[in-house]
Amino acid sequence: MSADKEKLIAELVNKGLDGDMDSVNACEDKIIRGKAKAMIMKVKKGTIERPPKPELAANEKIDSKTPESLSKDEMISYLVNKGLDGDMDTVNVCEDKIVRGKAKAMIMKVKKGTLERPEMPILDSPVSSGEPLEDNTQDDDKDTFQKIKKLIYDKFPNSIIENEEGDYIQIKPDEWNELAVWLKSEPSLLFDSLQCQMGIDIGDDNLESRYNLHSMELDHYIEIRIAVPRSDPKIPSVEQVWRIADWFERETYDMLGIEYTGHRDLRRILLPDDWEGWPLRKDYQVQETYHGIVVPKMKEGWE
Amino acid sequence: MGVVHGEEMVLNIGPQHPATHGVLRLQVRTDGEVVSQITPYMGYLHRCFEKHSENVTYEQVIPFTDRCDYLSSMSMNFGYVVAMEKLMDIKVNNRVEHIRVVMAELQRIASHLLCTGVFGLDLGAFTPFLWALRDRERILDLFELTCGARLLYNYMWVGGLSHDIPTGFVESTFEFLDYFEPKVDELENILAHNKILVERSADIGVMPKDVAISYGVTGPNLRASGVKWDLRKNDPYSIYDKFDFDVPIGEGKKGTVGDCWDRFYVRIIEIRESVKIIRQALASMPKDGDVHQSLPKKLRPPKGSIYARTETPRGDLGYYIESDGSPIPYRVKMRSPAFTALSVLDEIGAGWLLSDVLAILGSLDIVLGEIDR
Repeated sequence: MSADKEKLIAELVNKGLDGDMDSVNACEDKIIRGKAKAMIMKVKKGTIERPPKPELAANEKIDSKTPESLSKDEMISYLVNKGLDGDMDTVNVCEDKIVRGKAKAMIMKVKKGTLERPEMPILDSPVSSGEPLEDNTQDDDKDTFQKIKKLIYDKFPNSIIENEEGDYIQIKPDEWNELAVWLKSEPSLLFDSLQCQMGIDIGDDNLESRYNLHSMELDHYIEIRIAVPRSDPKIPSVEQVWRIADWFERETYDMLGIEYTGHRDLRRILLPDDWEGWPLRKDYQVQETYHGIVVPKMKEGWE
Repeated sequence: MGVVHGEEMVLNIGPQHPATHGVLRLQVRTDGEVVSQITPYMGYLHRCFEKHSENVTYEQVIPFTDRCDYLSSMSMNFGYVVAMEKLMDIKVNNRVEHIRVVMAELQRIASHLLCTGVFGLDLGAFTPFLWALRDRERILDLFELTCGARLLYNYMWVGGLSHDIPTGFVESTFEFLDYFEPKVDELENILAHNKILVERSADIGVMPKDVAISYGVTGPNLRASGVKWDLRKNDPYSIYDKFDFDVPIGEGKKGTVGDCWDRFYVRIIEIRESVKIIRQALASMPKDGDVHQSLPKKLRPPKGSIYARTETPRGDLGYYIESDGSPIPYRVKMRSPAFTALSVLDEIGAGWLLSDVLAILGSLDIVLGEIDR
């Protein structure tokens, strides 16, 4: 990390500790903001010392990455590009009303197709665009996550599907049961509590089962995701590892039709046994009648 | 104990039965009076919360959360807004945080009052139930003063609150607490040390630690089994780290750790701890601050997902929210604490007498609205 960034972090930390969290939150660079927040937490806990206040001239505060140096036209194209990429916050925090208005108008036009998307102005270095969750994740958590991931990888090298982004572990369904038993019993992991299990239709003809695990003893978390094709949605059941998975898996089966192989009592839990279809799949069509009763359709544009 | 063994019989309790605390059917296999298996059937109150959420905007989900656990709507709102604010990286000002904590703790008292009162009712004590409802009524009055509703509030919004607290709220709350604290002792005296209640609940339905954790049981039920786990302390959200309060755990004073009596008694102590928190929060509440300050114009979280948990009167409430960058949620999953608490019923309830099963069910404090969603 460059000395400039460190200075900026130290300054933000000092500001934050003096009660001015707004400056920290206003920092554009997500990584710097995250680091500063993590450091503030640590200083508050007392695990590290407060960094010395760097002596900065007032104008040096602005990170080279922020587009302050751009001209108005460039600024508008920058904001339009940001907005079209889904980051409307950047557009909304722009202080210049005229620039903001023009940018918003242009975004609308581009979306309608009446205008071409402007070119992204070149900044000194590209503004980082990480997962939104990374803001809140502290360094400690990230380290633990990487450590856990490595441990799993060493033990089950064939199960993990590599994903650079995100703070979850994507695995294949084949060895899930063995992996789960090991996760629960391995002394350095001890995931004794399954916090949440949910199913989701992620599109591309795939369904996903997600597990939020937590260790009461060691107090760390991971999220595990298992994707299966919609045509043959089969995942080994972990009902006998964490007993609560019994009902969680029944609910996911009920709502999305994911079949948990090895589950001892897999039947619908919230809907009646003879209900047709899997309601939380995105292509679900509600049945016309149920035992002669007309099933009301959900209205479009529910109010 | 002279237990008569007879022919095996299948018995249905509910769906319409006062002891099931809602619309729940328990299919019970009995051998004489001894229960050998309990199979809960639910879904009678299923209102497709998760499916609805995929068709409304993020703001419009909040009234649905009210209706999930209708006995602690404030806490359900709170969980959802905490998750959304984490996802969108919104910070709310100190006044909002203080008001939220006060409301959530008042709600905890109201919910625990109902639970302890109804637990007595299940075991045949009618008077304490009326006492509990009398005091709960005053809390509902305070809520009505604030937002006009007595049961379903839609009070906490993402980035703020629907209304600021009215003039005189702080004074009326202090007045209520002064009135209420001696009443807790009264409630404890008439119920907790009552010989009939102790006989009916001590040593009954013991839930060991590892069973509780494996079944995902949380909240007062888990703490009664001797696990010191409270999200307000262990993973503080909002401003709970600022307040000084204890986390009571079951000690097996009248029987074994984790029995029905412990689950009941932990709630009585928790009421006192909540009173402590409310007093601190009211005293340190900032005078100024706009409750609408951080309300975003449009709720459009960035692409991504979040799993956030909060501590409701019934345990860990988790919201898993998946966003695709549009103003409509892609998927909302509610991990409801009562759902996991009910799943343990067969494990700890089998082997007891039929009348004990109802005591165990009462001590778990389930709300069917939240189980069926």
